[in-house]
Amino acid sequence: MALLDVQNINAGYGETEILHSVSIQVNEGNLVAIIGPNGSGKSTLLKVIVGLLEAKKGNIEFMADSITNSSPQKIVELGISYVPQAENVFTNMTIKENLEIPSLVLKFNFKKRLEEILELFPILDTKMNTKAGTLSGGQRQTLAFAKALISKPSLMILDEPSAGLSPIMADSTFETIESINKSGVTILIVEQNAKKILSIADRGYVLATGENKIDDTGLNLLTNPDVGMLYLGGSN
Amino acid sequence: MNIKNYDYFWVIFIIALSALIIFGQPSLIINGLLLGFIYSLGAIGLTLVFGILRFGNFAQGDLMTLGGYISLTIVTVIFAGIGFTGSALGPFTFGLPIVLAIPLTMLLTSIIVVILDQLIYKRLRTRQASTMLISIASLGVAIMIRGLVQFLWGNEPEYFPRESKQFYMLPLDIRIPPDNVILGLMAVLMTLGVYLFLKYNKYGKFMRATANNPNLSLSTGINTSIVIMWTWIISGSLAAAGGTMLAVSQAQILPMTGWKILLPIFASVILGGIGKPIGALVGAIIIGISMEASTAWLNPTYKPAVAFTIMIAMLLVKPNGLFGEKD
Ligand SMILES: Nc1ncnc2c1ncn2[C@@H]1O[C@H](COP(=O)(O)OP(=O)(O)O)[C@@H](O)[C@H]1O
Ligand SMILES: [Mg+2]
Repeated sequence: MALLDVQNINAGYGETEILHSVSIQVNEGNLVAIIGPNGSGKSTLLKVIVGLLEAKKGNIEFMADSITNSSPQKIVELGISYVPQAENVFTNMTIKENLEIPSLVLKFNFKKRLEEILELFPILDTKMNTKAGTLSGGQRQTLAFAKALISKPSLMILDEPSAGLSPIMADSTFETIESINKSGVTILIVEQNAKKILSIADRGYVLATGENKIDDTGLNLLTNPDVGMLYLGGSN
Repeated sequence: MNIKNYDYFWVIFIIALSALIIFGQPSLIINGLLLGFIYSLGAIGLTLVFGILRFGNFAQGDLMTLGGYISLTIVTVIFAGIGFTGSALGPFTFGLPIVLAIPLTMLLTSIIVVILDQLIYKRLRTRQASTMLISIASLGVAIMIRGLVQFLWGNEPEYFPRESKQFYMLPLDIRIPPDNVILGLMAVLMTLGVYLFLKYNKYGKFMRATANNPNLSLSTGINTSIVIMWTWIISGSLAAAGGTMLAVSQAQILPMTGWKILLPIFASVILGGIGKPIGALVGAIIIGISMEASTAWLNPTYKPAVAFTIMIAMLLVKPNGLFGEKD
Protein backbone atom coordinates (compact mmCIF):
# COMPACT_ATOMS: atom_id res chain seq x y z
CA MET A 1 0.00 0.00 0.00
CA ALA A 2 1.20 3.50 -0.79
CA LEU A 3 2.56 5.77 1.92
CA LEU A 4 1.14 8.76 0.04
CA ASP A 5 -1.83 8.27 -2.24
CA VAL A 6 -3.03 11.26 -4.24
CA GLN A 7 -6.29 10.49 -6.02
CA ASN A 8 -7.87 12.55 -8.80
CA ILE A 9 -7.00 16.00 -7.51
CA ASN A 10 -8.45 19.13 -9.05
CA ALA A 11 -7.03 22.42 -7.84
CA GLY A 12 -6.07 25.90 -8.98
CA TYR A 13 -5.84 29.56 -8.12
CA GLY A 14 -9.08 31.48 -7.81
CA GLU A 15 -11.32 30.51 -10.70
CA THR A 16 -8.50 29.07 -12.79
CA GLU A 17 -8.20 25.31 -12.54
CA ILE A 18 -4.58 24.16 -12.94
CA LEU A 19 -4.69 20.48 -11.94
CA HIS A 20 -7.18 18.20 -13.63
CA SER A 21 -7.71 14.91 -11.86
CA VAL A 22 -4.06 14.29 -11.02
CA SER A 23 -3.12 11.06 -9.23
CA ILE A 24 0.21 9.84 -7.86
CA GLN A 25 1.33 7.14 -5.47
CA VAL A 26 4.47 7.11 -3.38
CA ASN A 27 5.46 3.83 -1.78
CA GLU A 28 7.33 3.70 1.47
CA GLY A 29 11.09 3.98 1.04
CA ASN A 30 10.83 5.06 -2.60
CA LEU A 31 12.19 8.07 -4.38
CA VAL A 32 9.45 9.31 -6.68
CA ALA A 33 10.03 12.02 -9.25
CA ILE A 34 7.54 14.34 -10.94
CA ILE A 35 8.79 15.84 -14.18
CA GLY A 36 7.14 17.91 -16.86
CA PRO A 37 7.39 21.22 -18.67
CA ASN A 38 7.35 24.57 -16.94
CA GLY A 39 3.92 25.65 -15.82
CA SER A 40 2.47 22.14 -15.95
CA GLY A 41 1.34 22.33 -12.33
CA LYS A 42 4.08 20.39 -10.52
CA SER A 43 4.61 22.98 -7.78
CA THR A 44 0.86 23.45 -7.53
CA LEU A 45 0.43 19.73 -6.84
CA LEU A 46 3.02 19.84 -4.05
CA LYS A 47 1.30 22.85 -2.50
CA VAL A 48 -1.99 20.96 -2.45
CA ILE A 49 -0.36 17.96 -0.77
CA VAL A 50 1.24 20.04 2.00
CA GLY A 51 -1.93 22.02 2.69
CA LEU A 52 -0.91 25.40 1.25
CA LEU A 53 -3.52 25.24 -1.49
CA GLU A 54 -7.05 23.88 -1.41
CA ALA A 55 -8.00 20.74 -3.35
CA LYS A 56 -11.34 21.36 -5.09
CA LYS A 57 -11.87 17.69 -5.80
CA GLY A 58 -10.18 14.40 -5.04
CA ASN A 59 -8.62 12.76 -2.05
CA ILE A 60 -5.16 12.57 -0.52
CA GLU A 61 -4.20 9.79 1.88
CA PHE A 62 -1.08 9.54 3.99
CA MET A 63 -0.49 6.30 5.90
CA ALA A 64 -4.04 5.34 4.92
CA ASP A 65 -5.61 8.40 6.60
CA SER A 66 -7.21 11.20 4.61
CA ILE A 67 -5.19 14.42 4.76
CA THR A 68 -7.13 16.23 2.06
CA ASN A 69 -7.17 19.95 2.82
CA SER A 70 -5.51 19.50 6.21
CA SER A 71 -3.68 22.52 7.59
CA PRO A 72 0.06 22.76 6.87
CA GLN A 73 0.56 22.39 10.62
CA LYS A 74 -1.24 19.05 10.66
CA ILE A 75 0.80 17.87 7.67
CA VAL A 76 4.04 18.74 9.48
CA GLU A 77 2.85 16.96 12.61
CA LEU A 78 2.16 13.81 10.58
CA GLY A 79 5.80 13.71 9.51
CA ILE A 80 5.83 15.36 6.09
CA SER A 81 8.61 17.89 5.48
CA TYR A 82 8.32 20.21 2.50
CA VAL A 83 11.14 22.19 0.94
CA PRO A 84 9.73 24.83 -1.41
CA GLN A 85 11.58 25.78 -4.56
CA ALA A 86 12.60 29.29 -3.58
CA GLU A 87 12.84 31.16 -0.29
CA ASN A 88 13.16 27.92 1.62
CA VAL A 89 15.16 29.24 4.58
CA PHE A 90 14.52 32.10 7.01
CA THR A 91 17.06 34.57 5.64
CA ASN A 92 16.95 36.97 8.61
CA MET A 93 17.56 34.20 11.12
CA THR A 94 20.76 32.36 11.94
CA ILE A 95 21.46 28.86 10.72
CA LYS A 96 21.00 27.59 14.24
CA GLU A 97 17.62 29.32 14.55
CA ASN A 98 16.53 27.92 11.18
CA LEU A 99 17.31 24.43 12.41
CA GLU A 100 15.73 25.03 15.79
CA ILE A 101 12.31 26.14 14.51
CA PRO A 102 11.11 22.59 13.61
CA SER A 103 12.05 21.38 17.10
CA LEU A 104 9.95 24.18 18.62
CA VAL A 105 7.03 23.28 16.38
CA LEU A 106 7.20 19.54 17.00
CA LYS A 107 8.68 19.66 20.53
CA PHE A 108 11.61 17.30 20.11
CA ASN A 109 15.05 17.51 21.69
CA PHE A 110 16.94 20.02 19.56
CA LYS A 111 20.46 19.51 20.92
CA LYS A 112 20.51 15.81 20.25
CA ARG A 113 19.09 16.04 16.74
CA LEU A 114 21.34 19.00 15.91
CA GLU A 115 24.45 16.91 16.56
CA GLU A 116 23.17 14.18 14.30
CA ILE A 117 22.20 16.56 11.53
CA LEU A 118 25.55 18.36 11.68
CA GLU A 119 27.32 15.05 11.17
CA LEU A 120 25.32 14.74 7.97
CA PHE A 121 25.94 18.34 6.89
CA PRO A 122 29.23 19.36 8.51
CA ILE A 123 29.47 22.47 6.32
CA LEU A 124 26.78 24.12 8.46
CA ASP A 125 28.66 23.55 11.70
CA THR A 126 31.15 26.40 11.28
CA LYS A 127 28.44 28.96 10.47
CA MET A 128 25.84 28.30 13.14
CA ASN A 129 25.48 31.94 14.16
CA THR A 130 25.51 33.55 10.73
CA LYS A 131 22.32 34.71 9.07
CA ALA A 132 20.99 32.28 6.50
CA GLY A 133 20.63 35.17 4.04
CA THR A 134 24.42 35.40 3.74
CA LEU A 135 24.79 31.81 2.51
CA SER A 136 25.54 30.88 -1.11
CA GLY A 137 22.85 29.12 -3.15
CA GLY A 138 24.30 25.67 -2.52
CA GLN A 139 24.72 26.25 1.21
CA ARG A 140 21.19 27.55 1.43
CA GLN A 141 19.91 24.39 -0.22
CA THR A 142 21.92 22.33 2.26
CA LEU A 143 20.38 24.27 5.13
CA ALA A 144 16.91 23.80 3.68
CA PHE A 145 17.50 20.02 3.53
CA ALA A 146 18.87 19.98 7.07
CA LYS A 147 15.89 22.01 8.30
CA ALA A 148 13.52 19.53 6.66
CA LEU A 149 15.39 16.45 7.90
CA ILE A 150 15.95 17.47 11.49
CA SER A 151 12.41 16.46 12.43
CA LYS A 152 13.01 12.90 11.12
CA PRO A 153 10.18 13.06 8.58
CA SER A 154 8.75 9.92 7.05
CA LEU A 155 8.16 11.76 3.78
CA MET A 156 10.24 14.58 2.33
CA ILE A 157 8.77 16.68 -0.47
CA LEU A 158 11.27 18.67 -2.54
CA ASP A 159 10.48 21.24 -5.21
CA GLU A 160 13.26 21.61 -7.78
CA PRO A 161 16.17 21.52 -5.36
CA SER A 162 18.76 21.82 -8.14
CA ALA A 163 17.25 24.98 -9.65
CA GLY A 164 19.69 27.84 -9.84
CA LEU A 165 22.67 25.77 -8.70
CA SER A 166 25.92 25.35 -10.62
CA PRO A 167 26.25 21.91 -12.32
CA ILE A 168 28.74 20.81 -9.66
CA MET A 169 26.48 21.91 -6.82
CA ALA A 170 23.51 20.28 -8.55
CA ASP A 171 25.39 16.98 -8.77
CA SER A 172 26.22 17.06 -5.09
CA THR A 173 22.59 17.92 -4.34
CA PHE A 174 21.46 14.80 -6.21
CA GLU A 175 24.00 12.74 -4.27
CA THR A 176 22.61 14.14 -1.02
CA ILE A 177 19.06 13.34 -2.09
CA GLU A 178 20.02 9.80 -2.98
CA SER A 179 21.76 9.23 0.33
CA ILE A 180 18.86 10.72 2.30
CA ASN A 181 16.58 8.28 0.50
CA LYS A 182 18.96 5.36 1.13
CA SER A 183 18.88 6.21 4.82
CA GLY A 184 15.19 5.33 4.77
CA VAL A 185 13.38 8.61 4.10
CA THR A 186 10.72 8.41 1.40
CA ILE A 187 11.10 11.25 -1.08
CA LEU A 188 8.72 12.92 -3.51
CA ILE A 189 10.62 15.32 -5.73
CA VAL A 190 9.80 17.72 -8.56
CA GLU A 191 12.81 18.22 -10.82
CA GLN A 192 13.64 20.04 -14.05
CA ASN A 193 16.76 17.99 -14.51
CA ALA A 194 14.78 14.95 -15.63
CA LYS A 195 17.67 12.76 -16.72
CA LYS A 196 19.49 13.08 -13.44
CA ILE A 197 16.48 12.47 -11.29
CA LEU A 198 15.01 9.60 -13.32
CA SER A 199 18.33 7.77 -13.12
CA ILE A 200 18.00 7.59 -9.34
CA ALA A 201 14.19 7.53 -8.99
CA ASP A 202 12.22 4.37 -8.29
CA ARG A 203 9.25 5.82 -10.06
CA GLY A 204 8.47 8.87 -12.16
CA TYR A 205 5.38 10.78 -13.22
CA VAL A 206 5.18 13.00 -16.25
CA LEU A 207 2.80 15.89 -15.76
CA ALA A 208 1.76 18.22 -18.58
CA THR A 209 -0.90 20.93 -18.65
CA GLY A 210 -2.10 19.79 -15.25
CA GLU A 211 -2.73 16.19 -16.27
CA ASN A 212 -1.04 12.84 -15.71
CA LYS A 213 0.67 11.84 -18.97
CA ILE A 214 2.91 8.86 -18.33
CA ASP A 215 4.03 7.05 -15.22
CA ASP A 216 6.54 4.25 -14.98
CA THR A 217 9.77 3.25 -13.26
CA GLY A 218 12.57 5.80 -13.47
CA LEU A 219 14.63 3.67 -15.84
CA ASN A 220 11.71 2.91 -18.16
CA LEU A 221 10.89 6.60 -18.40
CA LEU A 222 14.53 7.39 -19.20
CA THR A 223 14.42 5.02 -22.16
CA ASN A 224 10.86 5.80 -23.21
CA PRO A 225 11.12 7.59 -26.58
CA ASP A 226 7.99 9.68 -25.92
CA VAL A 227 9.43 11.03 -22.72
CA GLY A 228 12.79 11.55 -24.39
CA MET A 229 11.25 13.58 -27.19
CA LEU A 230 9.12 15.70 -24.97
CA TYR A 231 10.98 16.25 -21.76
CA LEU A 232 14.54 15.04 -21.78
CA GLY A 233 15.74 17.38 -24.50
CA GLY A 234 16.86 16.26 -27.96
CA SER A 235 20.64 15.89 -27.64
CA ASN A 236 22.68 13.39 -25.60
CA MET B 1 37.16 57.17 2.85
CA ASN B 2 34.02 55.56 1.66
CA ILE B 3 30.96 56.77 3.51
CA LYS B 4 27.77 55.00 2.64
CA ASN B 5 24.84 57.23 1.91
CA TYR B 6 23.03 56.65 5.14
CA ASP B 7 26.14 57.12 7.22
CA TYR B 8 25.82 60.81 6.37
CA PHE B 9 22.63 60.73 8.33
CA TRP B 10 24.44 59.60 11.48
CA VAL B 11 27.27 62.08 10.91
CA ILE B 12 24.83 64.96 10.60
CA PHE B 13 22.80 63.76 13.54
CA ILE B 14 25.81 63.44 15.82
CA ILE B 15 27.19 66.85 14.80
CA ALA B 16 23.78 68.43 15.39
CA LEU B 17 23.56 66.69 18.76
CA SER B 18 27.02 67.85 19.83
CA ALA B 19 26.21 71.39 18.74
CA LEU B 20 23.03 71.27 20.78
CA ILE B 21 24.83 70.00 23.86
CA ILE B 22 27.54 72.65 23.56
CA PHE B 23 25.48 75.65 22.51
CA GLY B 24 21.96 74.64 23.18
CA GLN B 25 19.98 73.31 26.06
CA PRO B 26 21.11 69.90 27.25
CA SER B 27 17.91 69.54 29.27
CA LEU B 28 15.94 69.41 26.07
CA ILE B 29 18.09 66.60 24.75
CA ILE B 30 17.80 64.51 27.87
CA ASN B 31 14.07 65.04 28.07
CA GLY B 32 13.82 64.30 24.37
CA LEU B 33 15.67 61.05 24.95
CA LEU B 34 13.22 60.03 27.68
CA LEU B 35 10.30 61.02 25.48
CA GLY B 36 11.87 58.95 22.71
CA PHE B 37 11.79 55.90 24.96
CA ILE B 38 8.08 56.42 25.50
CA TYR B 39 7.48 56.91 21.77
CA SER B 40 9.39 53.70 21.16
CA LEU B 41 6.69 51.77 23.04
CA GLY B 42 4.18 52.87 20.42
CA ALA B 43 6.63 52.50 17.55
CA ILE B 44 7.67 48.93 18.39
CA GLY B 45 4.05 47.78 18.36
CA LEU B 46 3.51 49.55 15.07
CA THR B 47 6.55 47.95 13.50
CA LEU B 48 5.70 44.45 14.78
CA VAL B 49 2.17 44.64 13.39
CA PHE B 50 3.62 45.82 10.12
CA GLY B 51 6.18 43.02 10.10
CA ILE B 52 3.65 40.25 10.69
CA LEU B 53 0.39 41.59 9.24
CA ARG B 54 1.91 43.93 6.64
CA PHE B 55 -0.27 46.94 7.32
CA GLY B 56 0.25 50.31 8.97
CA ASN B 57 -1.94 50.41 12.07
CA PHE B 58 -3.37 53.91 12.26
CA ALA B 59 -5.15 53.00 15.49
CA GLN B 60 -1.88 52.70 17.42
CA GLY B 61 -2.00 56.31 18.67
CA ASP B 62 -5.59 56.06 19.84
CA LEU B 63 -4.83 52.74 21.51
CA MET B 64 -2.24 54.65 23.51
CA THR B 65 -4.92 57.18 24.43
CA LEU B 66 -7.27 54.40 25.44
CA GLY B 67 -4.54 52.85 27.59
CA GLY B 68 -3.99 56.18 29.30
CA TYR B 69 -7.70 56.55 30.11
CA ILE B 70 -7.97 52.96 31.32
CA SER B 71 -5.08 53.60 33.72
CA LEU B 72 -6.74 56.82 34.79
CA THR B 73 -9.97 54.99 35.55
CA ILE B 74 -8.20 52.22 37.41
CA VAL B 75 -6.42 54.80 39.57
CA THR B 76 -9.16 57.37 40.13
CA VAL B 77 -12.25 55.15 40.16
CA ILE B 78 -11.30 51.58 41.08
CA PHE B 79 -8.27 52.05 43.31
CA ALA B 80 -9.66 55.25 44.86
CA GLY B 81 -12.99 53.43 45.31
CA ILE B 82 -11.39 50.75 47.45
CA GLY B 83 -9.41 53.36 49.33
CA PHE B 84 -6.07 52.62 47.68
CA THR B 85 -4.49 56.04 47.18
CA GLY B 86 -0.79 55.76 47.95
CA SER B 87 1.11 59.04 48.24
CA ALA B 88 3.79 59.97 45.73
CA LEU B 89 6.94 57.89 45.79
CA GLY B 90 10.30 59.56 46.48
CA PRO B 91 11.08 62.33 44.00
CA PHE B 92 8.22 61.38 41.68
CA THR B 93 4.87 63.08 41.28
CA PHE B 94 2.96 59.80 41.33
CA GLY B 95 2.52 56.89 43.68
CA LEU B 96 2.02 53.16 43.75
CA PRO B 97 -1.52 53.19 42.28
CA ILE B 98 -0.24 54.38 38.90
CA VAL B 99 2.63 51.92 38.97
CA LEU B 100 0.22 49.05 39.61
CA ALA B 101 -2.34 50.35 37.13
CA ILE B 102 0.16 50.03 34.27
CA PRO B 103 0.36 46.20 34.14
CA LEU B 104 -3.43 45.95 34.59
CA THR B 105 -3.97 48.36 31.72
CA MET B 106 -1.50 46.44 29.57
CA LEU B 107 -3.49 43.28 30.18
CA LEU B 108 -6.87 44.89 29.48
CA THR B 109 -5.67 46.67 26.36
CA SER B 110 -4.12 43.52 24.93
CA ILE B 111 -7.42 41.74 25.44
CA ILE B 112 -9.16 44.60 23.63
CA VAL B 113 -6.81 44.48 20.64
CA VAL B 114 -7.05 40.69 20.37
CA ILE B 115 -10.85 41.05 20.27
CA LEU B 116 -10.57 43.86 17.69
CA ASP B 117 -8.41 41.57 15.57
CA GLN B 118 -10.96 38.76 15.76
CA LEU B 119 -13.87 41.09 14.98
CA ILE B 120 -12.30 43.19 12.25
CA TYR B 121 -8.81 42.47 10.95
CA LYS B 122 -9.10 38.69 10.91
CA ARG B 123 -12.26 38.89 8.82
CA LEU B 124 -10.53 41.19 6.36
CA ARG B 125 -7.55 38.82 6.17
CA THR B 126 -9.67 35.76 5.47
CA ARG B 127 -11.37 37.72 2.69
CA GLN B 128 -7.87 38.48 1.40
CA ALA B 129 -8.47 42.22 1.63
CA SER B 130 -5.54 44.35 0.41
CA THR B 131 -3.24 45.80 3.03
CA MET B 132 -4.35 49.25 1.91
CA LEU B 133 -7.92 48.37 2.81
CA ILE B 134 -6.84 46.96 6.18
CA SER B 135 -4.88 50.15 6.90
CA ILE B 136 -7.95 52.20 6.16
CA ALA B 137 -10.01 49.94 8.41
CA SER B 138 -7.48 50.66 11.17
CA LEU B 139 -8.07 54.38 10.61
CA GLY B 140 -11.74 53.62 11.19
CA VAL B 141 -10.83 51.77 14.37
CA ALA B 142 -8.77 54.81 15.44
CA ILE B 143 -11.74 57.13 15.04
CA MET B 144 -14.03 54.63 16.73
CA ILE B 145 -11.74 54.36 19.75
CA ARG B 146 -11.46 58.14 19.98
CA GLY B 147 -15.22 58.46 19.79
CA LEU B 148 -15.57 55.92 22.59
CA VAL B 149 -13.00 57.80 24.69
CA GLN B 150 -14.83 61.09 24.13
CA PHE B 151 -18.14 59.46 24.98
CA LEU B 152 -16.87 57.84 28.18
CA TRP B 153 -14.51 60.49 29.50
CA GLY B 154 -15.50 63.70 27.69
CA ASN B 155 -13.42 66.27 25.84
CA GLU B 156 -11.93 68.10 28.81
CA PRO B 157 -8.45 67.19 30.01
CA GLU B 158 -8.29 64.64 32.81
CA TYR B 159 -5.58 64.53 35.42
CA PHE B 160 -3.83 61.79 37.32
CA PRO B 161 -3.49 62.50 41.03
CA ARG B 162 -0.08 64.11 41.45
CA GLU B 163 2.08 65.97 43.91
CA SER B 164 4.44 68.61 42.61
CA LYS B 165 8.11 67.77 43.02
CA GLN B 166 11.46 69.44 42.45
CA PHE B 167 13.27 68.88 39.17
CA TYR B 168 16.64 67.20 39.28
CA MET B 169 19.27 69.92 38.87
CA LEU B 170 22.42 68.66 37.18
CA PRO B 171 25.56 70.52 36.05
CA LEU B 172 25.39 72.45 32.76
CA ASP B 173 22.03 73.79 33.91
CA ILE B 174 20.36 70.48 33.08
CA ARG B 175 16.90 70.28 34.62
CA ILE B 176 15.01 67.01 34.41
CA PRO B 177 11.66 66.11 35.91
CA PRO B 178 12.32 62.96 37.98
CA ASP B 179 9.15 61.41 36.47
CA ASN B 180 10.76 61.35 33.06
CA VAL B 181 13.73 59.41 34.40
CA ILE B 182 11.67 56.64 35.93
CA LEU B 183 9.21 56.55 33.03
CA GLY B 184 12.07 56.42 30.54
CA LEU B 185 13.66 53.63 32.53
CA MET B 186 10.41 51.66 32.62
CA ALA B 187 10.07 52.08 28.86
CA VAL B 188 13.63 50.87 28.33
CA LEU B 189 12.97 47.81 30.47
CA MET B 190 9.84 46.99 28.50
CA THR B 191 11.69 47.42 25.23
CA LEU B 192 14.42 45.15 26.53
CA GLY B 193 11.75 42.64 27.50
CA VAL B 194 10.38 42.62 23.96
CA TYR B 195 13.89 42.27 22.58
CA LEU B 196 14.56 39.25 24.80
CA PHE B 197 11.15 37.78 23.96
CA LEU B 198 11.81 38.05 20.24
CA LYS B 199 15.29 36.63 20.56
CA TYR B 200 14.81 33.75 22.97
CA ASN B 201 11.14 32.91 23.44
CA LYS B 202 9.58 30.22 21.27
CA TYR B 203 6.78 32.50 20.10
CA GLY B 204 9.23 35.36 19.65
CA LYS B 205 11.19 33.15 17.27
CA PHE B 206 7.97 32.18 15.50
CA MET B 207 7.16 35.89 15.17
CA ARG B 208 10.51 36.64 13.58
CA ALA B 209 10.15 33.65 11.26
CA THR B 210 6.67 34.76 10.20
CA ALA B 211 7.78 38.34 9.63
CA ASN B 212 10.68 37.04 7.56
CA ASN B 213 8.75 34.57 5.40
CA PRO B 214 5.05 33.95 6.08
CA ASN B 215 4.65 31.07 3.61
CA LEU B 216 7.70 29.22 4.84
CA SER B 217 6.62 29.63 8.45
CA LEU B 218 3.25 28.16 7.52
CA SER B 219 4.75 25.17 5.74
CA THR B 220 7.23 24.66 8.58
CA GLY B 221 4.20 24.06 10.79
CA ILE B 222 4.17 27.32 12.74
CA ASN B 223 0.71 28.18 14.04
CA THR B 224 0.38 31.63 12.51
CA SER B 225 -2.86 32.43 14.38
CA ILE B 226 -0.96 32.24 17.66
CA VAL B 227 1.83 34.34 16.19
CA ILE B 228 -0.72 36.99 15.21
CA MET B 229 -2.24 36.90 18.68
CA TRP B 230 1.15 37.44 20.31
CA THR B 231 1.82 40.29 17.92
CA TRP B 232 -1.35 42.04 19.06
CA ILE B 233 -0.69 41.29 22.73
CA ILE B 234 2.75 42.88 22.57
CA SER B 235 1.63 45.77 20.41
CA GLY B 236 -1.45 46.50 22.54
CA SER B 237 0.26 46.21 25.89
CA LEU B 238 3.20 48.41 24.86
CA ALA B 239 0.78 51.00 23.49
CA ALA B 240 -1.16 50.95 26.75
CA ALA B 241 1.97 51.40 28.84
CA GLY B 242 3.26 54.12 26.52
CA GLY B 243 -0.07 55.96 26.61
CA THR B 244 -0.15 55.91 30.39
CA MET B 245 3.44 57.10 30.65
CA LEU B 246 2.80 59.85 28.14
CA ALA B 247 -0.21 61.06 30.10
CA VAL B 248 1.75 60.98 33.37
CA SER B 249 4.71 62.85 31.89
CA GLN B 250 2.42 65.47 30.32
CA ALA B 251 0.47 65.69 33.58
CA GLN B 252 -2.82 65.39 31.68
CA ILE B 253 -4.65 63.32 29.12
CA LEU B 254 -6.96 64.36 26.30
CA PRO B 255 -8.81 62.35 23.67
CA MET B 256 -6.24 63.58 21.13
CA THR B 257 -3.14 62.73 23.18
CA GLY B 258 -2.32 59.53 21.28
CA TRP B 259 -3.42 60.74 17.85
CA LYS B 260 -0.95 63.61 18.18
CA ILE B 261 1.96 61.24 18.55
CA LEU B 262 0.83 58.84 15.84
CA LEU B 263 2.78 60.83 13.28
CA PRO B 264 6.02 60.88 15.30
CA ILE B 265 5.79 57.15 15.95
CA PHE B 266 5.18 56.46 12.26
CA ALA B 267 8.19 58.64 11.54
CA SER B 268 10.23 56.63 14.07
CA VAL B 269 9.26 53.37 12.42
CA ILE B 270 10.13 54.58 8.94
CA LEU B 271 13.37 56.12 10.17
CA GLY B 272 14.50 52.89 11.78
CA GLY B 273 13.32 50.63 8.96
CA ILE B 274 9.80 49.23 8.81
CA GLY B 275 9.45 45.89 10.59
CA LYS B 276 12.63 46.31 12.67
CA PRO B 277 12.02 46.60 16.43
CA ILE B 278 15.55 47.86 17.11
CA GLY B 279 15.07 50.37 14.31
CA ALA B 280 11.84 51.55 15.92
CA LEU B 281 13.68 52.16 19.21
CA VAL B 282 16.55 54.07 17.62
CA GLY B 283 14.14 55.94 15.35
CA ALA B 284 11.99 56.95 18.31
CA ILE B 285 15.03 58.20 20.24
CA ILE B 286 16.18 60.32 17.30
CA ILE B 287 12.68 61.67 16.70
CA GLY B 288 12.14 62.34 20.42
CA ILE B 289 15.40 64.23 20.82
CA SER B 290 14.96 66.18 17.60
CA MET B 291 11.42 67.23 18.45
CA GLU B 292 12.35 68.40 21.92
CA ALA B 293 15.61 70.03 20.87
CA SER B 294 13.83 71.97 18.13
CA THR B 295 11.85 73.85 20.75
CA ALA B 296 15.03 75.76 21.59
CA TRP B 297 14.48 77.72 18.38
CA LEU B 298 11.08 76.84 17.08
CA ASN B 299 7.58 77.16 18.42
CA PRO B 300 6.58 73.78 19.91
CA THR B 301 3.72 73.57 17.41
CA TYR B 302 6.36 72.75 14.80
CA LYS B 303 7.43 69.56 16.59
CA PRO B 304 5.52 67.21 14.25
CA ALA B 305 7.00 69.07 11.28
CA VAL B 306 10.47 68.38 12.67
CA ALA B 307 9.66 64.67 12.95
CA PHE B 308 8.40 64.63 9.40
CA THR B 309 11.33 66.52 7.96
CA ILE B 310 13.67 63.92 9.44
CA MET B 311 11.51 61.10 8.13
CA ILE B 312 11.41 62.53 4.61
CA ALA B 313 15.17 63.16 4.66
CA MET B 314 15.63 59.52 5.62
CA LEU B 315 13.33 58.30 2.86
CA LEU B 316 15.36 60.27 0.34
CA VAL B 317 18.74 59.02 1.58
CA LYS B 318 17.90 55.45 2.48
CA PRO B 319 14.31 54.45 1.78
CA ASN B 320 14.56 51.24 3.82
CA GLY B 321 15.52 53.08 6.97
CA LEU B 322 18.58 52.92 9.19
CA PHE B 323 18.21 49.22 9.97
CA GLY B 324 16.39 48.12 6.85
CA GLU B 325 17.91 45.61 4.48
CA LYS B 326 17.99 46.38 0.83
CA ASP B 327 15.91 44.28 -1.51
N1 LIG C 1 0.09 31.93 -6.97
C1 LIG C 1 -0.41 31.72 -8.20
N2 LIG C 1 -1.49 32.40 -8.60
C2 LIG C 1 -2.02 32.21 -9.84
N3 LIG C 1 -1.52 31.34 -10.73
C3 LIG C 1 -0.44 30.63 -10.38
C4 LIG C 1 0.17 30.78 -9.10
N4 LIG C 1 1.24 29.95 -9.04
C5 LIG C 1 1.27 29.30 -10.23
N5 LIG C 1 0.27 29.71 -11.03
C6 LIG C 1 -0.01 29.19 -12.38
O1 LIG C 1 -0.26 27.82 -12.30
C7 LIG C 1 0.31 27.13 -13.38
C8 LIG C 1 1.18 26.01 -12.87
O2 LIG C 1 2.25 26.56 -12.13
P1 LIG C 1 3.27 25.68 -11.32
O3 LIG C 1 2.52 24.68 -10.53
O4 LIG C 1 4.17 26.59 -10.60
O5 LIG C 1 4.04 24.96 -12.51
P2 LIG C 1 5.40 24.14 -12.47
O6 LIG C 1 5.84 24.00 -11.06
O7 LIG C 1 5.06 22.84 -13.11
O8 LIG C 1 6.38 24.91 -13.30
C9 LIG C 1 1.08 28.16 -14.20
O9 LIG C 1 0.27 28.51 -15.30
C10 LIG C 1 1.21 29.33 -13.28
O10 LIG C 1 1.17 30.53 -13.98
MG1 LIG D 1 7.55 24.81 -10.07
